[in-house]
Amino acid sequence: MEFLFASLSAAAGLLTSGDPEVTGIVWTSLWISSTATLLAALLGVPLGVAVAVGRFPGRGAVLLLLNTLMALPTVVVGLFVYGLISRQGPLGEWGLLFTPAGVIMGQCLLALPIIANLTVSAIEGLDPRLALTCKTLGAGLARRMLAMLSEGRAAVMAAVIAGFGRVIAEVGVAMMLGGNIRWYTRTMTTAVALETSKGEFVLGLALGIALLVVAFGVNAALFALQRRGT
Amino acid sequence: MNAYSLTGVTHGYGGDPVVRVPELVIPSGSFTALVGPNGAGKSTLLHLLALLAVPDAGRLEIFGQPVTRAGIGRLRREVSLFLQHPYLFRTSVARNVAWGLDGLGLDRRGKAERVDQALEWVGLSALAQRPARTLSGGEGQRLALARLLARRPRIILLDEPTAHVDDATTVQIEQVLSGWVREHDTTVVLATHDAVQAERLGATRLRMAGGKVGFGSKQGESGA
Repeated sequence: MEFLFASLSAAAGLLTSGDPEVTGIVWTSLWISSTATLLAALLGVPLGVAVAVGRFPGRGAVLLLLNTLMALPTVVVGLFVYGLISRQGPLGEWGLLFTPAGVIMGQCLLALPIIANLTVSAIEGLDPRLALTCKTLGAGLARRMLAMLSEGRAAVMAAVIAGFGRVIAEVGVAMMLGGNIRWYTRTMTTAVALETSKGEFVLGLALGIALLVVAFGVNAALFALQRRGT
Repeated sequence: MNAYSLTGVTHGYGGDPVVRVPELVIPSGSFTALVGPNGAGKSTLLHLLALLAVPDAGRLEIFGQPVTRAGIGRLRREVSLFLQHPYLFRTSVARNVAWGLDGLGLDRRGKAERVDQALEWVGLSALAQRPARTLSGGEGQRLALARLLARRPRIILLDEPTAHVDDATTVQIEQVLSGWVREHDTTVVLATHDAVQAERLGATRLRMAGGKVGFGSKQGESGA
């Protein structure tokens, strides 16, 4: 127990001292995961609205696929993207492996089904009179979809928060596609795994705490936005 | 010209047709009331007239143009339906009214004028900036009416607009409707269970029962 408290105290000191390595790792994690979430939201939210509103052949299969992809292990996504961007892969020429762009690509794929699926639920949970009212006011499909997005913005925001939560805390994609390269692709989760395996428990703990604080801060900010939108 | 012409129209939701209309003509500029008890098929017929669905069988024409699945979106712009339980957007009263004006080719000033005018008609000018969801039930109904009138559609369909409001709001809504009909060349079809209301509004009454229309009674008669 004494060891834990001592480690916690040392970790807190490391965090508050503004250690450049710790700060750099936190920043790398934040911008990579934020970019991945933003891209996933740009693709996933319209996809979710289209699936929720559309009635097309194969809709059930799309929903089933989205549900299944929500439970994908991060290492499977990592493996799949690795196959795409490794030197022998179809996108190998782009040189994305072991770069932040590679991690972003993987995390985007990880967050996409979560955001799309939760957006489907958000839109399907809206008052059925909304679509009818839009039609009675002469709105075409595109305007109806925008109205649904606007009226369901709190739930859609929750979908994006869930997507961010998934990618900021994942380790498989960041490790496999980023390679845990110091000052470049090392994120909080890969650093925690590395430092702990090296016996650097204090640094691992400090980064673990930072991860919690960052996750809490981002979620609190998004939660506040969400509340303001309702 | 006729606003609507229906021939052999039937429509339902899977089982037996809810509405059967062998022949019905609604002249342009007329005020027609569909009077009947709950379950008579009034709302289903209004949904058909609002072009929210195409008939299962028969021919429906609006201003002489046949309604088909392909062209329904374009024709729908001629019509606005007041729902029995209107949905109010999560925004201000004024923006709720403005929402229905997009796509009408109005500039910002034109839209603002229409919003102001519509809110004035229903007596909600003072509440223009209030969140719509904070209005009372009666105010909400008046806002929905303002949103509809601001579009100035060629056809207005009203589904029991006063079924869930107090007497004072009923009077206000009826006054707005009467004034509107006097001043505008609009076709109005009102669905109501209240024959007296239809008479007060000076509408041509068509009785509905069991999904059938046709127990006609002219304006001024008390046949409902």
